[in-house]
Amino acid sequence: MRLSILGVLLPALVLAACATDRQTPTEASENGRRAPSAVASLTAPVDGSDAGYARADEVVELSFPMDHGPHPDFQTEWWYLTANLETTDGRRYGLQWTIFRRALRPSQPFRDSSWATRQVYLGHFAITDVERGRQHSFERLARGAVGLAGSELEAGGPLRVWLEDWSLTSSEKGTASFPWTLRANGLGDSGGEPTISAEIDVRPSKPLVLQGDRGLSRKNSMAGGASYYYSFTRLAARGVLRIGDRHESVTGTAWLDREWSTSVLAPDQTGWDWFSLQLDDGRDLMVYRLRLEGGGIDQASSGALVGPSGEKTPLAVDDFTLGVLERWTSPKGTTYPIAWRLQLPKQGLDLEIRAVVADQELDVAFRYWEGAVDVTGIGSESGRGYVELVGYGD
Amino acid sequence: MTRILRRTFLRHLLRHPWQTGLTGLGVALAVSIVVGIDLANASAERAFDLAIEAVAGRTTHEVIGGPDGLNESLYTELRSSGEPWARRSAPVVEGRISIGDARRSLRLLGLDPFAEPALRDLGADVFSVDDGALGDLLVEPRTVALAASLADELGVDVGDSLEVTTANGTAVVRLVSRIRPRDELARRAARDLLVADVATAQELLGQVGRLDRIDLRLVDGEADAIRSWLSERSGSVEGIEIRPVAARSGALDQMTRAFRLNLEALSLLALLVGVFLVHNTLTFSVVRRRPLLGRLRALGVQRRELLSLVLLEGAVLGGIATAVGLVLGLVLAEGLLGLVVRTINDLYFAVEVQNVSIDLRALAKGGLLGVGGSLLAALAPAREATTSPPRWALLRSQFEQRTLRSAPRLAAAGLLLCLLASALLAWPSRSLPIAFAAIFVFVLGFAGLVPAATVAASHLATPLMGRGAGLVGQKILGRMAARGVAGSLSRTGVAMAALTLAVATTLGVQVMILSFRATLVDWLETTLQADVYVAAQLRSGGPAQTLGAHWTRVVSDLPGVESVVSQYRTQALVQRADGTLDPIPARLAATRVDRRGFDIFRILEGDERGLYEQFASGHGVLVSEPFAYHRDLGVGDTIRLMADDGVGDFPILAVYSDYATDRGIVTFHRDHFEQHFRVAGERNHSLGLFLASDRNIDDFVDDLERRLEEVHSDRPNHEPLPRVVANAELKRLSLEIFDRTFAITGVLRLLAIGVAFLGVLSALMALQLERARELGVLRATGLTPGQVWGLVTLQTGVMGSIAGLLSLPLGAALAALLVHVINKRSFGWTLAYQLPPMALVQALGLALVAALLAGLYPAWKMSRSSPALALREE
Amino acid sequence: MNHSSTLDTSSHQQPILSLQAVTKIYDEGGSRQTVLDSVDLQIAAGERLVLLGRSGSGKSTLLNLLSGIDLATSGSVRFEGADLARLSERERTLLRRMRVGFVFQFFNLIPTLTVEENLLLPLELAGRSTTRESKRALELLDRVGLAGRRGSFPDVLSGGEQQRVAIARALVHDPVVLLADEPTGNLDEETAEGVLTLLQETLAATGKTLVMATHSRTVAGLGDRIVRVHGGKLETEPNSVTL
Repeated sequence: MRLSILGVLLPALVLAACATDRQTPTEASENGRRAPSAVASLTAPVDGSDAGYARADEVVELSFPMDHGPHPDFQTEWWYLTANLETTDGRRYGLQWTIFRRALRPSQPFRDSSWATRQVYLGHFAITDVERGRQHSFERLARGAVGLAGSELEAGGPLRVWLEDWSLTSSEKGTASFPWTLRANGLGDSGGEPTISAEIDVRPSKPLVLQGDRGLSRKNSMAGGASYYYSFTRLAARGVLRIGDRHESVTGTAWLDREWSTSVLAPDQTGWDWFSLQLDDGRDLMVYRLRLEGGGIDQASSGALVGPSGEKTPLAVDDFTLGVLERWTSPKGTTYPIAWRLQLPKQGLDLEIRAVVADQELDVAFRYWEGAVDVTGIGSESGRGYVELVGYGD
Repeated sequence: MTRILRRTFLRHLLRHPWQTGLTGLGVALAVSIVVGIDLANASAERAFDLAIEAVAGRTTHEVIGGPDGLNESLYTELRSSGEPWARRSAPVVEGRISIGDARRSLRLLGLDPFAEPALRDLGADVFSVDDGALGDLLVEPRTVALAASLADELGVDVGDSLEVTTANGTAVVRLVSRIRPRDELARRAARDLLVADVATAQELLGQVGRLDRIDLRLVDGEADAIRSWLSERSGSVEGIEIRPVAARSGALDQMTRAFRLNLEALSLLALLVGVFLVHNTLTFSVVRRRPLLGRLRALGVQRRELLSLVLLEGAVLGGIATAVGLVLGLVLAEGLLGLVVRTINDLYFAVEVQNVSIDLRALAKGGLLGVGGSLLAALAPAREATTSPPRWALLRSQFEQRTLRSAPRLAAAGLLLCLLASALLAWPSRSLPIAFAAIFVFVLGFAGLVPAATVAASHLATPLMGRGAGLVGQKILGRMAARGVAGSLSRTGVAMAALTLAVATTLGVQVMILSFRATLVDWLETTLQADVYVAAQLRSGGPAQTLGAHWTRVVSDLPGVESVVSQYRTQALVQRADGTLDPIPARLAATRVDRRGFDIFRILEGDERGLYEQFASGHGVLVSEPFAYHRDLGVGDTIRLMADDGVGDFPILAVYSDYATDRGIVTFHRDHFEQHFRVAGERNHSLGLFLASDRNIDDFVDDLERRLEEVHSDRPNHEPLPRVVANAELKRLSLEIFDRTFAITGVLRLLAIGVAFLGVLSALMALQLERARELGVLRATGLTPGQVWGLVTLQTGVMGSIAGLLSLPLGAALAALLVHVINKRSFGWTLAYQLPPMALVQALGLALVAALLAGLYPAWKMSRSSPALALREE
Repeated sequence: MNHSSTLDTSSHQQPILSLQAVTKIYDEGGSRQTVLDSVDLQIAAGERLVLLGRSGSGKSTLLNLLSGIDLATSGSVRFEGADLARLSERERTLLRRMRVGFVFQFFNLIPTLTVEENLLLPLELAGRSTTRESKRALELLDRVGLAGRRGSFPDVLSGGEQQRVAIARALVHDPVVLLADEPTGNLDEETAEGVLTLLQETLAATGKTLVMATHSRTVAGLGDRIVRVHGGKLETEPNSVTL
């Protein structure tokens, strides 16, 4: 799950999502202004600004492959991919690729110009070079018009989600059939940052999983505070990474999240910690914790444990405990936890989760931490995964 | 000692406020003219630079196409290429827009908020923080953002509506955000900008699917990379070029350079007259203080000290007057700026200049000229002040003798200068500064001839005046009046030169304008042959609106219309021989005309036989005279234009006469034009209708207007009702613009005359003092005050007449130079020189009246002066 | 010719010029200067009166008052019995034109007129520029010995020559009174003598009244009566009356 991190953030993103890609460690945005805090915008209450959109307020039957495509009546949507990749000689990389769609208005008046649209797209791309202990991140922003960005899926045709030269496309034959190919580029700069590009194919190793109640995932008790959410918890990934002059063939496992909604967090929710873990024994674990003002944990926090063949066991907030083992302060001054202990008593799981590289902070329009982690358990409960930490900065 | 001396001198300035004021006024006026014009010019220039610069932001290059712009898909391709420079690109849609009663000419910029931060920072917060407004701007049609200052000026705030007119018609837009520019540059740029999303701009300007350009911020080498990328990409054949932005700002400047240079020259002429004035009034001041100076010398003050004191006085007076002149110049600049801008708007392009920008260079130049000129002018009087006191009287006549003797030498020098000037002009060149320099040298040379001519005229006039006065029994007085002019040459010589110059300038400019106007009228006769004209708008200076094809059909279908000439106008870039693009775009006209209508082109160069057939079948183009002149092209040469289908070669079939533009036009036949350029439908800017000979024009106009109304009310869209104007009315309007353009010169001429008038006045005042004794003797001998008045007035009349007569050849010569050299080199026009006798008579009268008026006060003073005071013993 | 032989001016003959209790005060720039302080003076027709005094003593002022060029601050000035104060500026000018001849120390001649034109100017002004009068004027010029210079401009004449022409000019219109202000002041001794002699001769021939201002006793010898001008007061020198 990824929460609606866009909220009222989008315009701030416009400011900061300059045409030049920036990498971490980064400098401040081009005109030296910081976007308003992610958390501050998240705490903006549900108000009329999202009137008119479709809402995730009841369980519907999701149908595939069509639901792989866009749902333009909803305000927010994303295609979110994370992967742990490795070369043949064991060099390890983490990859995050996201394209968000955000609607500015519930409806579009008829316009003559092809540039007119109510949809805006935001992209984040990050590669963690474990060996060198560095993460390179990039951001893009464009309108969903004149082919600059967009998402489309027609019956009998391929799925296409793209933002300028970043894209996620399904294979030519069939409707949104796998493999899906992910492409992304990030430009280097004169300061020594390398140019990075990725072209990765993903194929599901398990069927997709509907999160929450048959795909309706509640975030809070407020009306409409939910999203439609499904995941491919395990995909086989294979492709090429180019980092500067290096050309790396990589393989690994990926996780794809798909979510769409028209909702905003409750005012007292300050952020979240989200974990997607892929254990060596074939199980996949997704857990998220909504943090409240004052330090508590929201009851809506939940998760899911997916078996090797795709059987899902939902997890409620009481079904797991999460403790922080280690913290790290970023060069920007934000302190993040980077090691945890996750226990699922009912399942008998006791896992230590640790970031493979401490600095996987993305300093894009807003600051958050998203990075590859190692899981250590007992026996075959080891694995790899990705963790997202939002709301620690500012 | 020195301090007391200085105080004495400076106190003298205060004790004689009129005299001080007179000198000061002259300098202030002259300086104000120079500064005023300079500032107006500099402000306009700065506006051009800012117009480009500020909007350019950090843009280094731009990708441009033919007149129809770029296909919007090019931007997507560019952006999706993954190339590093693609990240530093932004699309731009731009157009001229006017608001309200269309007096205010503004620009509409269509931008992409997502691409902008890499290139520009206009302070459009709507591009960043306020979500509501960004959504409005992107999603809602016809939404715009304005600079806070502009919004206030127009009296609108967020949420209000505004009616705007573009080339596409009128529309109502809504203000959704105020722009808060973050620096001076952005603020100036924003002053005349409406900012909208690309989509909105495309729709408002009728450019859906097109972009005007793509701005880029490049580093070294990337321009070439883009060029190869452009040439390698598959796609339609289109004329696409990439060029540096710096080229564009120079273009605006160059386009109006000639016009502004002309203004500057005029102002310098005023300064010349002003310097003469300072000389005269300072002399007057020295003469007046002879007793004081004498006493000081007797007390033992050295010559050198006196010299420096007078120079100091000149400097202080000049300095204060210059300061006043600078302030006056600022005021004048405000007024002039309006005139300058309006002319530029009329003739060239939309530029919005609200305030005079304080150009320090212009102020410094004006200051230097004012103080420097004062000092220079103070030299001669300062030297005179150092001569010994007691025998001034006798020395006076010796001084006069010396002046008389130097007159021939001065005349020789003057003649030499005139010859030099002629040589400069005969030199084959197109340089405008050289032409102006030559004119100045010529004028100076002529001024050198004035004293000798005055002496000669004085001699000739003496017997005439004697006989004339003899009719009333005062033969000797008559002779005295005539001889007195040459007799006080040292005082009156300079004043007369100034008056001659000022009147000659007036005459010259007037004759030039008359010649021009006559040529224009004649040309209009040839060019405007259609009986009735239909256009989307009549006023120039505003977005050029076009008529849709249906209007052409409506109009042609009316009974009585024998043939229709249509014209569509646009601009295209010219590729020079070295492959670079000329930043100044060429005006293009696409005309659909039949054999009869083709007569509107008055062919200057080229074989007229078979010309129409060649033209109509697209074998080449016609160019107008200024175009051929400026680019040094002629019949048989080829022009390379950046058309919509790429760069093309177009042979020149003929050159025709044209006074409507100063850089010329390239005229295509409509069919030929459409082979290379895109026009959305059969749109036209104007239609000319030839009526059957038995059709009454007024009746036809009524019918036509009614029909147009009918059609318009049936289709109430945003397209305006076309205007109908009869031939005579159109000619009148054209001349109106012409007259308005030259309104500026009228102001300046008046000022120049004023300065000369003051010069004559002060010269006469100086004379009055010097001749006090002589007058005393005359009064003692029995001259009544009335007779004294008559004598002086007669003398000023002689002076005025001489100045007037001398100004005639100079003025006529100046006019010839302006017509044949300046106008030609500035604009490329061939004008027919006409010298109406009335103008000569007027010039003579002007000189006479100016002199007589200037002489009124001195004459009165002289007649009133008590001889007793003059005759008292020393 | 009739010389008055006594101080007593109450002869039955009317004085041609008379000042009675005349005061002249100059008021300029805040400073008041009393040039003449309630003076009396009677001048008989044909008399040769010399005003003797230093520079600035007021002798020129006296001449100006006598000719109507200037007006007294108080008191009466009569010219041939007419009270000058009662005449308009124009009338006084006309009076001068017809009845008075002036010779100044310098600057007598108009530099832009020839000698002949300078000579004829008073006649023209008086409206008497007939051929006969012109001939008479030239004879006068001849009498002062400068007939050959009639076409010359004054700047080529010597000081003495200029004064001679001035004298001729002063007499050309046959005035009744000749006023001379330091006529020889600018000349060297020898030339001065010549000019004075000329003056004497011409006056002897015509019997006109002469009032001459000078600071030189030698020059003063020309006159019948010497009046000293001093401290704003007049004082006739007793032994100056020539019998």
